Amino acid sequence: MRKRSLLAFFLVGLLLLSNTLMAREETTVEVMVLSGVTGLSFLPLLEEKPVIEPGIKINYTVISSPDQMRAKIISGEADIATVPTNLAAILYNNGIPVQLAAITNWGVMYVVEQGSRINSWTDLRGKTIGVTGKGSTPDILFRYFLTAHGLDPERDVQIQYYPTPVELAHLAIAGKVEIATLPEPWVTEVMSRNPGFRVCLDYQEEWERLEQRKESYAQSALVVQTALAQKHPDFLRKFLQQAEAANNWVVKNPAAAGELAKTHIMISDAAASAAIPRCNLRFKEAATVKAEVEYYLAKLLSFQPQSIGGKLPDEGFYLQK
Amino acid sequence: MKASTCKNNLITLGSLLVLVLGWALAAKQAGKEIILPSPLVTFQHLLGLLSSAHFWRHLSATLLRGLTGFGLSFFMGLLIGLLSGLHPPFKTFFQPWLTAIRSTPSMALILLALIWFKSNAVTLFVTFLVVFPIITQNVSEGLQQVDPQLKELARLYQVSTSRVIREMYLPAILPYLATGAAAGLGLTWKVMIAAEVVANPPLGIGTQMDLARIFLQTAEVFAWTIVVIMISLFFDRLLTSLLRRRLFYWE
Repeated sequence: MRKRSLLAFFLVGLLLLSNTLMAREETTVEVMVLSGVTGLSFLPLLEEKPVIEPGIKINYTVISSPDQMRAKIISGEADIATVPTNLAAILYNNGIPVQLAAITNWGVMYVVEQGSRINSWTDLRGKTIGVTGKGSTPDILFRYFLTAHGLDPERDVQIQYYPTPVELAHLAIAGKVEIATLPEPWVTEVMSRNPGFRVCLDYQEEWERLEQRKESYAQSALVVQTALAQKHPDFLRKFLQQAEAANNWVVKNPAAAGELAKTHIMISDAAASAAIPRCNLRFKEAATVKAEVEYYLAKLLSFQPQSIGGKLPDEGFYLQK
Repeated sequence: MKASTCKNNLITLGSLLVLVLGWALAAKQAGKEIILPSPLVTFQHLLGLLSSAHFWRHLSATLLRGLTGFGLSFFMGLLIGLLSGLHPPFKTFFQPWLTAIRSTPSMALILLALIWFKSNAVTLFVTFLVVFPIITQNVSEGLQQVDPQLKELARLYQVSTSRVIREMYLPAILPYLATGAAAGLGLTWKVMIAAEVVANPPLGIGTQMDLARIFLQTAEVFAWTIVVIMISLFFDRLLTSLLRRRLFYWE
């Protein structure tokens, strides 16, 4: 028994060793994409895995939870990764060597309701609304919009918190929650499985209206490890071009992209195709939209400093072209 | 006696010192605050917490919730435990339920409760289901320790029921109840915090821990964890001293 376990221990050790040794032979870039809408932009890349530069091997991994993604970035396992923009700032401000390479989507948050009573933010007065992630950016923005319309989030409405959009969406589908703030693709999921639901308010429109900006808020981002950006700038430039092209293809071909979504990022094809127009997928390299990103982060900073890691990230945060 | 207590205290102090030193070294090795904050940084965050107004609101919410959950479990456990201990058919009847509840992972209870209840009720429900079987088990075991011959004797001499309860059953179950309560109270805080982290009630330590986790404020998570350890220790001590007084009285 003891001998066997010793042997097993030895074998596992050998396996781990050989694995690390083999990985050193050629440059491998680990691209990690979050499942769900943040993964939508990358579907053609996940499907075709094009060679960007000879000698550089790219591994694509789809990660299902933001927590796992954070761990992979902090440990340096992920070279290129998709994250919420505020998380990118938190990582950078905490000394994790990552840079913002691009913004991939500009908001996917909506308020949905069963019925047709809510036609403006002020109609929410006196209502109970399901919100996910107390203190997370969807919650922060929701409270901001309420306040901007003269409603006190503590007194004029009743906010019921749910841990993740999954629970909230299921309760909405079951008819147990009547008004909910949800991201895509849950908005589409709820509306297709409970036809009584409709989109009543749009975070993105509201942001543009309130802030007088041409662009909505920079919700999701692509980050790269600084080491990769310094060592392989050419590869990275080409990769970002490919990613932009992939994103544009998805926007133009929602039906075909839906098929890919089913196989790669765990969203049903119908939901993905229907959700794509509401996902504000616009791939913009960080250097070109720095002002918008900074505006959004500054706003978050004023609401809740810890949501971006306590301070505005400096110049080094933005990957230069 | 005195010398050995003194020596033990020294050893405890040494043990804590080694723990903090090991922690400090590990933090230095990790090099980044978001991976492992140093004891000093954690202590600063703890001080910051203690001096903030919202700390007391979250602390009292969790305390109230924990004590309510524990109280409910204690009384239901006592009730079912007494029934089971005094009337064996009850025990046989409840046994499968208790076994099933006890074998269910607490995370499964939390996930299910999330679907059924609002956040405040989730934490109470889960704590109750985890803690109450422990109390029940202990009370019913205690009752079984009563000498059957003594029971027979009490019946023969027609000793009044209240005297039987006071002088025969209570002394028998108290040590068991004490063990059960101590174990149950310890679990209460662990399960309560886990449920709060997942269910996010508006006020609560667990909610704050989750928020700190979302924003990668590891030092904040550590600080809250120390607060929970303190709560747990405080109530453990309180319970032990309360029960010890009672136990000596019965002996």
